[in-house]
Amino acid sequence: MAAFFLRRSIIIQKEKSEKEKLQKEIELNYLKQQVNPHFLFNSLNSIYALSRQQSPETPEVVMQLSELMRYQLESAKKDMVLLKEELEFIENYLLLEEKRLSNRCNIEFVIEGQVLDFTIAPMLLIPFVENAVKHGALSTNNQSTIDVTTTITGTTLNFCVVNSKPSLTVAFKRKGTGLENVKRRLQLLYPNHVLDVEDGEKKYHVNLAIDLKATQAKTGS
Amino acid sequence: MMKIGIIDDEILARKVLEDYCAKIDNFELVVSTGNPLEFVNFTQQNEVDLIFLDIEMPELNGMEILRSMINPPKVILTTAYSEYALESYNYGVVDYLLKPVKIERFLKAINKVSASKIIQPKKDRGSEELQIKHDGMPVNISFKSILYIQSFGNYLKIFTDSRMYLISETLTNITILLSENFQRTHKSYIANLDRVNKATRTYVLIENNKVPVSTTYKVIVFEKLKILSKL
Repeated sequence: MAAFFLRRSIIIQKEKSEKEKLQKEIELNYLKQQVNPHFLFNSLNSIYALSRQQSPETPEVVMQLSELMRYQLESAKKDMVLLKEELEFIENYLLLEEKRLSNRCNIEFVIEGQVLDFTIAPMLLIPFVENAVKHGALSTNNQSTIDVTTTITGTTLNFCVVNSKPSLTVAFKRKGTGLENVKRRLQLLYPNHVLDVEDGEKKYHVNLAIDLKATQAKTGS
Repeated sequence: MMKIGIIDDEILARKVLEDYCAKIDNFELVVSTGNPLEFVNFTQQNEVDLIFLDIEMPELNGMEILRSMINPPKVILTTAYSEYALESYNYGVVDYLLKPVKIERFLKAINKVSASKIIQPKKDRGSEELQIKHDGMPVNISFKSILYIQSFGNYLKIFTDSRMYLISETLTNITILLSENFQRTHKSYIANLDRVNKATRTYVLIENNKVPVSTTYKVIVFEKLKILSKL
């Protein structure tokens, strides 16, 4: 009996220290590349162009970028953030990319169900969206689509990203360390998650289901 | 009139450069596109003197366009953020602009394009140097250091051991300034035969650069190489 508890506590401690280690790594990564410099300077260039034309859109785009950057800086320090904030961040990101891509990409961002005061680990969802933009829209001159649908049923979050696949891409590589990182984090933070990836002929689907209840207890601060 | 092209996949980024170009008197914007392939097709039918080229683009990026063009126009690279600055020097780009670009910085880049001109023909055939005006400054290039000279439009690229000079001049005019070791090998090339490492039916190899030899010049090139004991 004693041996069992001892082993169990060792396992728990090991898990805990791995989580801590991972958290440190993530923080470090954020510090290293808080904002993707391409994204930042391209966005600034869009704003520069809009302000030169004295476009009435300018103030809005400046706010989107500033909110996005602030969130990236602040969420890096936290274990958990409000789901609402994480989704707003994704929306800001998509709005900025939509501006950059002009009419090349149709972006849909839909939230179904009540966001309430659910919390989520920060930056968990964005890599799927970034990948959709990178591989679905930025890699082609043709018209592309990205649909991001968030559905909350009870305490279950379904996060679904669908992007059109460019027909003319020579080598469609779908790897990248970003996604590997997320998979590791999901494994540790949401061991019961379900991640479905469907690499179709014309579309690329990612569907992530996680239970928000497991982490809701920590809210309040 | 200088014929200008703009290649950038972001409309807003193109808009800024279009506005800037409209401010320059002798600039004529002939193509502005977000599609690199469209640009490559355009250049096959039309002449372009200077392009503003974005690096990160779908399907064919700026560096790939540069690598693919045999006779590229003058190039000013534009990018939001990049690690390509060093590599770009290998392609003899005129300048490298970081977006957003200040108009002052833009003008500076433009001046680099127009400032490269020959000072005056030098009659003294005994000279060991080619005197040119580059970036507004007189430069002496020793004949020995010149590998080959390539023309495109009204401009010449002079490739030396250390770098490439871009000047406004024609191959015919520059011939009289060079020593007899320099030979026209092709409609668009003059080679320094003294620097030839290897010769084949269609090109001569000069420090890893294949300089094309056309049928018109083949006989004279080979005769001269024999005299120089290169064959």
